[in-house]
Amino acid sequence: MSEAIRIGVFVCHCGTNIGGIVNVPDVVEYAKTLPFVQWAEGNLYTCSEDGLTSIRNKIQEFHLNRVVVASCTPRTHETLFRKNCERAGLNKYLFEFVNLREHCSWVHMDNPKEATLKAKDLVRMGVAKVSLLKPQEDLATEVLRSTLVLGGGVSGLSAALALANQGYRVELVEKEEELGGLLRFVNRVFPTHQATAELLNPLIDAVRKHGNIQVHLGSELTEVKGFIGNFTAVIGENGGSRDLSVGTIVVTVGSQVHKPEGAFGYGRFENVMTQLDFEGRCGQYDGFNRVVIINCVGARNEERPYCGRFCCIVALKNAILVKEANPGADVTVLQRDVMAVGKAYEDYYRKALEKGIKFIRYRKAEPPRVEGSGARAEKVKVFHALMGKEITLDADLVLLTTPLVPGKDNAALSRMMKIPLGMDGFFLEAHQKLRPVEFPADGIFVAGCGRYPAEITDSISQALAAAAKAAVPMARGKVVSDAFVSEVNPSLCSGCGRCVSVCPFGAVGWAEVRRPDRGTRAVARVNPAECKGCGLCATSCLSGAIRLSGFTDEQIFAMIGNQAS
Amino acid sequence: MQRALKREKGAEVPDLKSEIQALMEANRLNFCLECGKCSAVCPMIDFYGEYVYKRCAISIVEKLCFDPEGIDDEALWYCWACKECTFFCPSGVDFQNFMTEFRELLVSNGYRKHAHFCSVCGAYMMPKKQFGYLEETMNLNGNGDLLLECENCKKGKYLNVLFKIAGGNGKPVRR
Repeated sequence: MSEAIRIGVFVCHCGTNIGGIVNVPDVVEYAKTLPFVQWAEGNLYTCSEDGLTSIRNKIQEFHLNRVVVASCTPRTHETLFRKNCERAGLNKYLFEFVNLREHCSWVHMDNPKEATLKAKDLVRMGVAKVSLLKPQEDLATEVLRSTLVLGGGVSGLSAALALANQGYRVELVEKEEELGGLLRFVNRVFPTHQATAELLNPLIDAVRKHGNIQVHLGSELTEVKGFIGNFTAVIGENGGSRDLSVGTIVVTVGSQVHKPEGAFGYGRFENVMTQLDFEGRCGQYDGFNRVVIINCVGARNEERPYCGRFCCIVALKNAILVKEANPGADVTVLQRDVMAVGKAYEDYYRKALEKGIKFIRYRKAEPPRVEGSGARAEKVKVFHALMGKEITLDADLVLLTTPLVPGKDNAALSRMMKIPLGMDGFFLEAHQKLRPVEFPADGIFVAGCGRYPAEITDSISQALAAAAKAAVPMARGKVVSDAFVSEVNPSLCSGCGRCVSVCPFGAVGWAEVRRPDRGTRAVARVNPAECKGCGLCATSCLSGAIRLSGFTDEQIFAMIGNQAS
Repeated sequence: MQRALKREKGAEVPDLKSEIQALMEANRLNFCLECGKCSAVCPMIDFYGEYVYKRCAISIVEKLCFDPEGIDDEALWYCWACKECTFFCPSGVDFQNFMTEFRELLVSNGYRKHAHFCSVCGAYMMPKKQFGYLEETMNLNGNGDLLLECENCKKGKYLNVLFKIAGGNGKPVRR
């Protein structure tokens, strides 16, 4: 320490939240007695304009070089108080937050005397720690103004256009030889019954014509290096490989339709097919007299407990189109609930009922049986739950409604970019409710069916959301990260790799260091730009080689040592 | 549905089927969502001990859609046409009206064994099951005879009495 530590302590009443239980003046008087404390005061609301001004004034007046605020939670106010210190000319990392609300007054509402004693303990610990804090600087990294959009289906196309229209460069990588994704194979969309091409072709045209979008067809992603603002994506294109430098990544890889091999005669009978196979007949809806549609094939069971979300509507769509092409046809849908959730889908269901399409509920434990001779299915037997007996339906066409299932490449992509997969195999977003289109790893976003089965509206909405989120760091041009990050001491690192696997943000990688005798060895290295300061690596390190700034062993031990009075 | 029905009904069958279909469509039976409200309010559960949920309105609808052999089922004659199901149906299925017309259709096509008819004119009065239930109670009260004649025939009896009072020449007797 080159200069004497001069600490200011500001204890907040937080209205009555703290002041109503903890004896704040008492705590303030106590703080004055602690080592290196030059000034202590109580505030009604330290976060108010008055409180903040007072802190700045006292920093100037008493030449304070450390500040402790004992109030509510750093989760809401740490940034505010740190910036306030900066305004007063004090390095923002020389600030310590003591929580007297969630950690004290709120949980000890019935014991004010003990709460006050505890508050004193907490303040003493905070003062001990703050004197060990060192000044630090924020880390700023440049962000390239370009995005990698992985997958050229409706989600990818929408995201690419949204970003390109804002002026960012887009590298659209599609593994097939043409754009459009799954929708290329869908004949008509529900519930309007428009031809899918009417929707898809304008999108594809706009993308191809856009000057900001570079389309890479027949290209697969093989490697991703780097971090937000500076990704290097290696793609295999035309037999060779190519490096793309981008600032952000949007994952819109979609999924595939489940093919129920062996179930319900699929693969054995030529007139048993999935809804997607049926779409492939390109508008030939007539010529069938007895159509049986079986819903929930391969969904909502032990193997795959989720619901495909919109496959019921696909079934309705094809049932209606068949019935419209041939009003005399018998169309029966065997279902386990009709999930007509969405704008005007209940009306769509009613339209199907109006047309005379019949719906029979079957039980999960008694699935329908498809029987036939040779290569053709002829009958479907189902146990009618309400009648209490098995009935037989003649069939010249059996359609199996199957859900979307995760794409085959998901596992590899997950490893490549360190983005997680959920239990169902789809990509897992950072938070189910609050952060639906991003991953914990900064700069990588997700939209469309790769995340969960989504119909066109949802896919487009998510794609636009992901594009908007990706634009934020690119618009700012730089990413500023907190200085409280981890650091590996290579001389202590044993190269066990625990920290590499435990980091939820993919911020710990490998680096080579020379060995004193010969060759090199691998040690862990934390990328400060990606590190969020969560401390999992430091905790997992068995060699004690990782140090988390702002929560060093020295600082923590000082707090522990000062815990008991 | 082109499955064969009982042969002895012969040539009438296709017409009956399409007539039933037409009735079903007219009364919106194909709008049934299987919500179960009709069966929940049906009073038949209280009356017939063996009247399980399978026999209720909702099941009859299903039966007629898929099991034309079931047209001879006694359960089709349990319904009392009280209109509770129609009242509560959220999809607008008019089951009571359907049931009434459906039974007339069945009777006119020879499916008579579950129905009770007027002993005078032979008009359809009520399901046999209903008759059996009422008979027991009403015989105890001495009103059993009311069940044997339809309203028209009873009215005919009253009119006869009235005419007799009128003196047979159409002029009322002044008192």
